[in-house]
Amino acid sequence: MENKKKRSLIAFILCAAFTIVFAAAAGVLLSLAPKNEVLSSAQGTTVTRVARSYTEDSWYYGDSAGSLVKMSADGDEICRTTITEGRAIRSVASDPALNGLIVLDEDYNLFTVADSGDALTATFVRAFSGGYQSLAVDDEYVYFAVPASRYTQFVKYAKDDLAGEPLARGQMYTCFRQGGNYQFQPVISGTIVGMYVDDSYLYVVTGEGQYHRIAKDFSLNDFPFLSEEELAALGATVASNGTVTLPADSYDSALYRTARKQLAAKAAAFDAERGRFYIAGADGDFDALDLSFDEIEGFNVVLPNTPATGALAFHRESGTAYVAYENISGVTAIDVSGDAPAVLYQADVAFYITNMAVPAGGGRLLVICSGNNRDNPDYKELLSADIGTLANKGLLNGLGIAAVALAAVCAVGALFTALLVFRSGFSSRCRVVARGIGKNWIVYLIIFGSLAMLILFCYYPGISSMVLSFFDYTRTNPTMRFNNFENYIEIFTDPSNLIAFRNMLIFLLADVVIALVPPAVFALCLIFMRNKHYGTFARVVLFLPSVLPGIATLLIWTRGIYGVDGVLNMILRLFRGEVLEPVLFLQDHGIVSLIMMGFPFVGSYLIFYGALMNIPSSYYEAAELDGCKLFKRILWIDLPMITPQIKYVFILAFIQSVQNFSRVLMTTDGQFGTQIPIVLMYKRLQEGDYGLSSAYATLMFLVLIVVTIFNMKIKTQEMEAGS
Amino acid sequence: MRKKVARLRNSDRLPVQIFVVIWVTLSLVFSLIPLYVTILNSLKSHAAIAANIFSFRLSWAAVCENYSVAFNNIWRPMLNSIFVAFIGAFLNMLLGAVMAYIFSRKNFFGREFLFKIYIIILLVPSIMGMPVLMDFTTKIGLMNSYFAIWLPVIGGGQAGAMFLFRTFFTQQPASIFESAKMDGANDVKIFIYLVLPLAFPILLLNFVGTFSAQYNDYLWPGLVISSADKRTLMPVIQSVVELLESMQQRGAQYAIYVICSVPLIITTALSLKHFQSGDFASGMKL
Repeated sequence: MENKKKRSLIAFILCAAFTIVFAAAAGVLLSLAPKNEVLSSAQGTTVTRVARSYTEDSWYYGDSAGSLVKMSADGDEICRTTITEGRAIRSVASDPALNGLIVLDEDYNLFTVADSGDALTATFVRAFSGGYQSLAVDDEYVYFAVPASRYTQFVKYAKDDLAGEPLARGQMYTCFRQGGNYQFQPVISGTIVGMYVDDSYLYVVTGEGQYHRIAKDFSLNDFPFLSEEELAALGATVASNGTVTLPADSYDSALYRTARKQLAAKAAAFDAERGRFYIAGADGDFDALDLSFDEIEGFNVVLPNTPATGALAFHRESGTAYVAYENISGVTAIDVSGDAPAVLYQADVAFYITNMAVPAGGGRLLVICSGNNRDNPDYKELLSADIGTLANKGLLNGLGIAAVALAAVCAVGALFTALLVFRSGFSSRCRVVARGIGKNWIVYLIIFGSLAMLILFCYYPGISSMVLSFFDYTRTNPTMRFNNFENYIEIFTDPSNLIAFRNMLIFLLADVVIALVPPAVFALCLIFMRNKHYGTFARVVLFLPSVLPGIATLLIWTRGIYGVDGVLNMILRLFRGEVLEPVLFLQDHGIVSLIMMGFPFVGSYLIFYGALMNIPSSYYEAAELDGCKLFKRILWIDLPMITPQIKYVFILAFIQSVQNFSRVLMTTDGQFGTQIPIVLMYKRLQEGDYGLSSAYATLMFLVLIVVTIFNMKIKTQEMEAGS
Repeated sequence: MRKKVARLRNSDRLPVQIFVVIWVTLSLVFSLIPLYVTILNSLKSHAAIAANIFSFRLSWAAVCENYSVAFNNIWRPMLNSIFVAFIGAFLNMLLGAVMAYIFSRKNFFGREFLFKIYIIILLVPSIMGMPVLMDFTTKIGLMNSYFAIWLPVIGGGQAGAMFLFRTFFTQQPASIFESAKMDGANDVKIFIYLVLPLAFPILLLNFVGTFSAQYNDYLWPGLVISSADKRTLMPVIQSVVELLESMQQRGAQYAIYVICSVPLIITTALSLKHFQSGDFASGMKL
């Protein structure tokens, strides 16, 4: 015995030591894991675009107030300029072939920005009144894609004379062979994911899975801008819908080539050095295409999720591509410098990244992502992640969590061994329990499965909803952030919400009365009825309306009974003549109409009826012998005898009334002063604002908890009576 | 020897009887109005309904059109609904029965404690966990899958079913189980050949109840199912009705209400025998 105790003591000391070691390790590892650095946020503005510089290791960002800021590699501001005061910057283009930047403001005014190292100077160039889609730059020219009426057009300007007249114009076509001819169909303008230029061609990647390779002088793209003679010289005929037909012999595929692919690009990058495009496709594929848009063999990476629009950064110096996603907070780094791609790592950076850049040094990843700002859903902030540590981040975090788990296991072990050592009789009790569990292991296995479902789908959501109601937490930004009861403040400071809670109480009162009084009266009527055949008939007939689904019943009431041509207006017209304006029941008398739905409220009379049937008739006989009147009999015998049923129906009606959302959602949709909290919660849920809808749920739970405690008392009584 | 005299009770007096009959009759009439309007108008053309909702201008052509339009619009979501509700109700019933058997007939360590865990959840309203449940469903990738409907239904519903069945199982005489055990039947055999057949009415009742609750559910399926070919009936029905209103097809709206009642007519007919007597309601330990 002593021996055993000694062994337990040693085990206890070991466990306790390991607990401390693992806890310390977890603390160190988790604090070592790199954190993202917020570089620019709040202060009333939102970051809109970020772009790297190709001449030095600096970078630029534009914000919603119209400022363009140059930042050093370490994230310190170097200088700033204002493009258009108060107008957000829509696009910042930087290109190795460009001396400065080309910046577009919210109103499609184009500026060139010259960067003299420590100062930025912006010059207005021109306005694209019809909008703007993309641009590409080569040594001499700048090519713009702009929407023109329904189609996408290209314009080409000399680089040092952007304000001047366009040198050439073109239009985007899809080209396919039909018989002996080639047909050029104008492309309805969609999203242009990327536009790139190399020595010989202009390349356009659209979001619809189309890839275009265009001659730089736009030949075979310039049909709308050609004269009759020029068209005739090409042998082209133009149909009224803009489709151009060209004989096969005058088509030179070197001048214009379109490819239509399954791979619909969400984000694209052009690697001029290796002559290929990197495409992150909508169905989660990362592919490389060669210059004639054929997939490069063996160059495919399956991404873990749908890539976010426009969020692919290609760092040309190191040949690394970074892809961000729509629903998960990861960024995948892919080494594309070789013949086959290699996924370097997948790191957690931020949710909903819309724009990324990696400055020349390759030391940091700059992302624009959705920030925490309830008042402005478009708010974006700029994060900087250190690329050097990103690769290790997942590993450090994983090790940290593993250490926490091990520490927890050791702590449990320590506690157990401590009990073995210091509590007499504990070990023998343990042995008994262990033997019992061993005998009934199948039972425990089944209970484990069933309990897992119960906990995962009932306990866990219920409890954490309550916790979540104190946090900012939305579908687009699922990071929990305590917000000083802001969810509750928001609910209680909005007068329309207060009306919703008032309505909830009105409905509650009415529903409880309706659920108790008319069914009880009806059940008593059935009991009193001498003609038992009629009573049976009534009970059978009352089942008929219950075959209509609840939603259908609501719609029938809304349209068929309360409607303008509905039953009630029809009856009113019978009495008051045709001239009567129809009464708009739901609009003008919303709450009353909604309460009256389901008239005559026979409801759960069966529960009362069954209970009344079981009252021994001797009670009544005795009462009548004593000369008890009918009314008194109801009051002193019937009602007390069905108290349990009344309690049951009361609880049920109470709970259902607060949770009855379809009554309002399907009929008035919360308009006309009939809003209730659960409909508000449903709407917030649909919008994905989990924190706020949890606050609504918690408030409703607080109302329900009154009756829940009442219910709990009854249930425990039942359990005691049952066992 | 005393002669048995049928004594006139207080409640048998004429004014009371008149009041009773009138009250019951009015309740019946008003309760049936929505159903009556629905069936009547599903047999009429749009113009006839708009003119007078009570008129008897029935026409065979209108019937054919109403029902074919209605059927074409809702058959797919309706089949989905039936499928989802059937599977959900069946699994819920099965799991509830197994758990009830375990908790009523087996003795094991921690039984009372575990039973309390199941009962407490019955007291928490289902809306409480909805925000997190939705987030959780998204995270484990069940969005737009029927498992997003089934798992919460079974997870929570088993507790209610178990509570109901357990009351029933404990009322069954222990002697038959003992004799079955003496004859060498194991738990699985006892459960399949003894417990389930004996409890058939209550199992059916639970199945029917869960089925119609699932069939009628609007909130949760509307939140988790998004693709058109998977949507269930109730979330779809309102938009279909609005579409038909804009197409001047009011008769077809009523035909939809009739068609979507068919599964519930069947389930109600199944359970009518047990519900109608009121025995069940009084038999529940309240």
